[in-house]
Amino acid sequence: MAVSPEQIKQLCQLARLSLSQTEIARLEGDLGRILIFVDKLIPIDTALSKSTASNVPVQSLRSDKPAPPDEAASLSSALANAASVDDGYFLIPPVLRKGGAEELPASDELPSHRPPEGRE
Amino acid sequence: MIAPSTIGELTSAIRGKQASVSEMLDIYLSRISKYDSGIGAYLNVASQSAKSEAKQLQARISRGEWPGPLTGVPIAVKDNISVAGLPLTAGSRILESFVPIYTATAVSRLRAAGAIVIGKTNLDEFAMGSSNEYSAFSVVHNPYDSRYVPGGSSGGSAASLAAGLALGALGSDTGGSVRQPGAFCGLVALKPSYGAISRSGLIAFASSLDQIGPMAHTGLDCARLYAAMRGCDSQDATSRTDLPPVDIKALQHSKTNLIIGIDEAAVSTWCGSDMTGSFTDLLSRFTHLGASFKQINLPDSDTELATYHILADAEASSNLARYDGLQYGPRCSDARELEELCRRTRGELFGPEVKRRILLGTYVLSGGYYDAYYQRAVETRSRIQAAYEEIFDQVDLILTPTTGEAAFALGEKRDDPVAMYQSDRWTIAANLTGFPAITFPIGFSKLGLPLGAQLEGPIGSEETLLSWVHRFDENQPPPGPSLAEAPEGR
Repeated sequence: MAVSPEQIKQLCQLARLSLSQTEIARLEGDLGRILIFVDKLIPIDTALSKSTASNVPVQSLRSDKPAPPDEAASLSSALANAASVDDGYFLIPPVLRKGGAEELPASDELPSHRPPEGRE
Repeated sequence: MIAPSTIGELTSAIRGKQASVSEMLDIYLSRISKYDSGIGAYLNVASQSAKSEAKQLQARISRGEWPGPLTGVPIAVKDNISVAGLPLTAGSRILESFVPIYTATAVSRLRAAGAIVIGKTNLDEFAMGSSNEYSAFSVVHNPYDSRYVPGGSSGGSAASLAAGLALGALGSDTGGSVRQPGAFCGLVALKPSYGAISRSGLIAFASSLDQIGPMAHTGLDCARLYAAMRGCDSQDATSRTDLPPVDIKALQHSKTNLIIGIDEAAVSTWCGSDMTGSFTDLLSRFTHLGASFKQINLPDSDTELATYHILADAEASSNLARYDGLQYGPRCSDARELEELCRRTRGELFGPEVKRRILLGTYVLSGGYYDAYYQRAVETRSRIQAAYEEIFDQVDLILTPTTGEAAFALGEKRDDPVAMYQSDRWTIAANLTGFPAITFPIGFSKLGLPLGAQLEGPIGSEETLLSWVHRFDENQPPPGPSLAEAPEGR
């Protein structure tokens, strides 16, 4: 089954992946070949099969209790791998823009930990 | 002193005071500096932490303690398994700056038995590949011939062990990723029953298929590593409570009159002449050890491959959604909005194979295609499991080649994903069914590259698999590669 460039763009949207035109052209061929390969399943009659998304049921759950402070990750270690943090929070670019098509509440209605304008 | 060839030799030398733990470690560290530039097995050699672990072990020995059955054994850990404080990349630029804050249970258990983490090894990005050529950082060369791949995705672990740059190694196996490189590098490598070894601390690729597995020079060494790691872990809800332990001493006295299933038609269809010849020889060697054979019909391997890729890629597209540049790893520098930051970070930092798999996984889970692909694959997996259960009603174990041929040349399959996927033909069934499977060396191709065969058994049959390999190799590793010092680098 062929995959069109439009379908690849739609998949990129779903998978939050940005690709160059060259990559899209390459993937059009690759995905087409891979789908021919996996299309072998289409004729198989599975009507009588049971469905198993997992190989085994959940076997061993730990108790749902917070770890004691000396065993738990500290705030600083939990944030240590982030590209951008401030005052105990992960910093990210704005989620929505004032004045855009998806205008947000005015800044005084936003949560107090919102990063200042222009900061990332 | 030369590097020991088995774990038993190393621990006896330390116990007999022929070498201290630190001296033994130094042998391996100096081999790494001498040879690894021509192989590329390691992404990060943990000299400092390894030396400190060695000192602590030696201090315990000096106090009259014996730390455990793996005392002083240097272990290479695939770089998708966490060791607190050591960088973990999973072979990807998207985790290039990541340093985990906790250690995988499998590694903690090896350390508790006295083993030392000597370094983190190269792999295909997020363990997606069969040649190690999809690593974002560098290729790995097969120590037996540098023009050939070491296999993948645990190619760095396999190459480090084959070259004598460690004495045990950890890989992860989602579709054959410890067994295929194990076979290409002349090693014993076990994919245990699903749930036998905790996956806590393993970077998730396809959670219903992933297992951590040990790689070693002999069946007995592999059993020692497995025995130290196995067992239920509250940090992994899929780790099983009902699997039997492995008794190392009992390996020598195992049942000999096993009935082993073989599918000769599949072997002649899918194997090259080197493998067909070695496999035929193997049958007569097994007969001498007491095995009898029964013809079986394995399920169609093209169907298994299709089922595997739909499930693995669907699960990967979901598991890899977490890499968005927000909480860990680098991120693209000038995004103006959150959505743009995620898309561009992923687009710029994931490699081509990971992108292919994410998109295929997204496709088979998307509206209009879910029933035709994902749901059908889930149902087909059940049929495959049932088919293997029926086979195990008639035979004790199944014997197959691990791969259809010896290692292929670097570059030969890199740009042909479907050809690359087909190199997993013999190994994926054990992941789809959850059954344990072990590869062991059976000889060499005409070009001098190792060949491996695979034994598969029902859930919990690890002791039988390991004991049979032990009977076959008698704790003697095959001849190792001759290595060239490569001071100018790869």
